[in-house]
Amino acid sequence: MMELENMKAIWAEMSQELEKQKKLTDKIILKMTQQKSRSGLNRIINMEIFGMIVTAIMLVYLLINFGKLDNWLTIGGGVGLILLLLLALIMGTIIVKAAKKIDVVKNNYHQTLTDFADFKKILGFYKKLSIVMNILIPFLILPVVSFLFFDRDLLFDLQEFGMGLIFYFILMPPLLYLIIRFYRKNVSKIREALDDLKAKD
Amino acid sequence: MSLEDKFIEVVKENEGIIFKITTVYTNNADDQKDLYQEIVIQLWTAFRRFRNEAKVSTWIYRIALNTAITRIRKEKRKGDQVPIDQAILNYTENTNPEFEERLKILYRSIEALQELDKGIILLFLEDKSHEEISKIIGLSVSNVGTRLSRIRKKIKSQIANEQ
Repeated sequence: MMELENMKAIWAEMSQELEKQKKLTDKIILKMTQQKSRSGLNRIINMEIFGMIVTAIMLVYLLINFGKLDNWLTIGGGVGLILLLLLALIMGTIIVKAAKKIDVVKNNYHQTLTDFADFKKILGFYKKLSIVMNILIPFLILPVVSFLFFDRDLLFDLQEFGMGLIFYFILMPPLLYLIIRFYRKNVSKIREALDDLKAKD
Repeated sequence: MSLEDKFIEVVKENEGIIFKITTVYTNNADDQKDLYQEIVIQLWTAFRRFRNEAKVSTWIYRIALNTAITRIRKEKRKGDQVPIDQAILNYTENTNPEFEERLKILYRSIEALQELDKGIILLFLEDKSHEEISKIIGLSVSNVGTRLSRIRKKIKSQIANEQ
């Protein structure tokens, strides 16, 4: 009958066998790094997709109600806003596509770095574009939103238009700062994960 | 040496421990790989906080067993049973049929144990003292002793039934 001491002996024999053939696992470690880089990427992708959904809803709403706009300020604002929203949608799609291209398991390290550099370039451009867009947007959105939601025509109430603009420009910089910080933080996380991978090469 | 390099070195040095734990707590190669990966990820997460207060192997046993037991409990909640497989035989080059048979009996008798007891017997087979088992599992030394003698009886009768 196999006694417990014999069990220990069998276990020890098996352990020795295992020691002889170390099977782990560069793949697992690689996967771990990918998970790290993907967590930063996924946050950016999720944020972009959320932004694109909100933008698409705004765009559809605006297109449906475009006929209601009836003077040069609201029509001009509406057209400008439609163009900006379309641009935001296109940029969102480009960013998501570039982020999804980064894959440390499927591609080699050099390819991953190239994809990451492209992604960063696109994000950098988007950051500059966002600043310009955020300066333009209140001039377009305030007349349209006031007209469609509150039935007020800012063309005849320039003081209220001015107040709206002041309010917007007080609120926007901290919000824009938080958004840019979010992207920076996640991009540096991806960068860190890729550097770890480089150190292992 | 970067933190990640140190980690890889530690994991590579102790991969036998992780491997044995995954064979005791899973029943097929896919589950085993998944658990292996989960343990390595948990170890990595904890590695930044590891301050060498415990022996590296003790630290690895503790995290790997916790991960395995937690995972099995989750699987059970989902309604899946996770019995033991003889996947380990595929990894050993020993083709001695007697050794194979005895290893199978050993694994089958471990299979009949509860999750925590599987961990305790594994540590006993790894030649750990009651104190070390108590540190790793988080039970008192006397509790480990009581459980071990119960497990030994259970395994003895299990093996007797098999033979």
